Amino acid sequence: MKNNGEALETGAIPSYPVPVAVDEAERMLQRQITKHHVAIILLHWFNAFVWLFELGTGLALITSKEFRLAPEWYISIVHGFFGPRGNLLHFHIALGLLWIFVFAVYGIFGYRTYLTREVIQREIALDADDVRWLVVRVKRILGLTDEPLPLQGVYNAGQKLFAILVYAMIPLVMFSGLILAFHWFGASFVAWAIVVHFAAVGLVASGLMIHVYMGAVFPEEKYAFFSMLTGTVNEWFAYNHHFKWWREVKLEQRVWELQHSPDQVPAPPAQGAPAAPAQQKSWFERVFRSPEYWPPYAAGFGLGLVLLATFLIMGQGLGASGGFTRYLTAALAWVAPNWTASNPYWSNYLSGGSPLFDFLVFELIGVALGGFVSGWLAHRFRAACDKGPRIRRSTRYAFAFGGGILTGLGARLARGCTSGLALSGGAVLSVGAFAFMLSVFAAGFIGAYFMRRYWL
Amino acid sequence: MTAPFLGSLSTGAFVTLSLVLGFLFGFFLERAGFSSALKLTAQFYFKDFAVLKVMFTAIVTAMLGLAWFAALGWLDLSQVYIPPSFIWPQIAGGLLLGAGFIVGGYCPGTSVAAAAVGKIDALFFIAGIFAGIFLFGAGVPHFAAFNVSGSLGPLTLPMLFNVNTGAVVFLVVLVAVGAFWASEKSEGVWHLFGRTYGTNSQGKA
Repeated sequence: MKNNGEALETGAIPSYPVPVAVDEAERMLQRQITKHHVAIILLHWFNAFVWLFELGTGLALITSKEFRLAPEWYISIVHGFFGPRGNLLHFHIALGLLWIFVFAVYGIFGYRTYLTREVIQREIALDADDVRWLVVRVKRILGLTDEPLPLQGVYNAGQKLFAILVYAMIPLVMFSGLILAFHWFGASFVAWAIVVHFAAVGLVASGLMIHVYMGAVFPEEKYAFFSMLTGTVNEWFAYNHHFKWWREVKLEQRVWELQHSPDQVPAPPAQGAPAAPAQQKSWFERVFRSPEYWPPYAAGFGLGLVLLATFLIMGQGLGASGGFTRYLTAALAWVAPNWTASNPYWSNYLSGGSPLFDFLVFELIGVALGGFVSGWLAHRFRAACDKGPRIRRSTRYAFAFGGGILTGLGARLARGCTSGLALSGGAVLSVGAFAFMLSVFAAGFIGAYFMRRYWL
Repeated sequence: MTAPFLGSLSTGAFVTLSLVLGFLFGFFLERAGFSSALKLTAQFYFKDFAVLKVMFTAIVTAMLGLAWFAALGWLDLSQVYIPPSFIWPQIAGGLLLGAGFIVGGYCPGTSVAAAAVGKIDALFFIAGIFAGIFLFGAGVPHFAAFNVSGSLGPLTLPMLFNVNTGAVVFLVVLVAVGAFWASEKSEGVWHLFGRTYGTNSQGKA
């Protein structure tokens, strides 16, 4: 036994769990290994917050006698907080839309990190050990066996089962919720959506009870709970509960140490390997798939032709901030209809039918699609942050938000932004457009001096 | 039939064409490198004049196109929207937007293209725009008088100077060519802050 403990100390990585000497176990308790990325921690707690409020308000929204789950007093307490049923429904839908939006952002920027085949096999799919684990776990609870639990990876089979349930049900909850909120596809779809929405939520909620119990109450799993706050678990917990994962981490550490040890000589580059013959690229590859930006005069000429076509077809130029204003007005009119209608500014956009039926509103969707396609073709599509070398990302985000506020104010005061006023107004020789353009460049050049440590 | 064709478009055609024009707008913005805050702000450090070059090339192209189409009778210029000039709020707005540009790194249109290629900072900028527009709309009763000051109506440069449109178009082209020439001269010459500045698509120098 002692030998095995020493083996662990001297650095051999066992392929099955061996008893560990007390002092080594103490050290393992002190050493932390990273389990969750901060993006996942944030998503987890956002998700927890959404489920808490959606379940809370959803329960109070079920009022028909046959299906009501919550007692009368609960419903009246919720109504006390949120006001009448209409407000409650608005809150439920608005939070649900926010939920879908946040998941969509994670999906778009994170799917290559979190939804790879490797991650799914490691974190979600059940292997033979997992299936046996489920059987042994149940038998142990029933007192039928003393057999040790099979070795587990980064998540145990119970956690994986819950993940499978959640991954399967969340799209159903989202899609049926959208059908219910906006009455898509007609009455029969809405009727089915009710059934799907309730069934899917019910399944997740039943799993959620175990999940919350294990995380918050069950003493053995307390380190798993804290890992959702700190992102790390101690090695001792990993060794005892997720041995396969512990071993992976240790092997990776060992490889890293070997590669970075000072006496390690890097492998010499392979010699004599024939250089791949330079392939002639097609014009499409060179023009659209090269990571270089287009020459400014070429891009500007293209932009000018699009602007000209827009004038010829729509009778107005391109724009951006007007579209933003219309999206905002529509959202405000939905959340606070009376206030929005009585405001002298928003009411301008409400007078002619829906604020969303406008050239700029559709055009902005196109801008996002066009930007994506161009960037994707040129291999530029990746989650990134443009910042100067001396500042932190958080600083950049704060300044980007602040700069956005100034830009929003300025664009509305000027009745247009760089595209809507300077570009489109400039092409029709508007006096205000040229005054605006000069002010933008003046403020930009002056501000650049004060912002030099931030950008350079 | 003379342009603009807006009145003869069906709803479906209107939506489709809006999306297509927006798509091309976003495509060329991204192609020009305007999905990068580093490329955009490099303008203000005299490192890369792409903003000025792209903007003036586009203005000159569209302006010449409009002038020729109108001269040939293919376009009814009276049907083209000319933004009304409110000189004081537009100067103040330009100063605010210029400050927001150098602080935030984008302008509204470019921030959408940047967010579309995955720039997280652009998402914060877009959130800021919505906040700014909200502040403006909620606060507009407090500065209603300033907001409509200096009203000149849909005034254009030819009307202001009381000269022929063709003369102004010619003059704008001359100014633009002069600006192109000056920016080619000053790019890479004025290392005002003594540092090279990254402007390629990888954001590296």
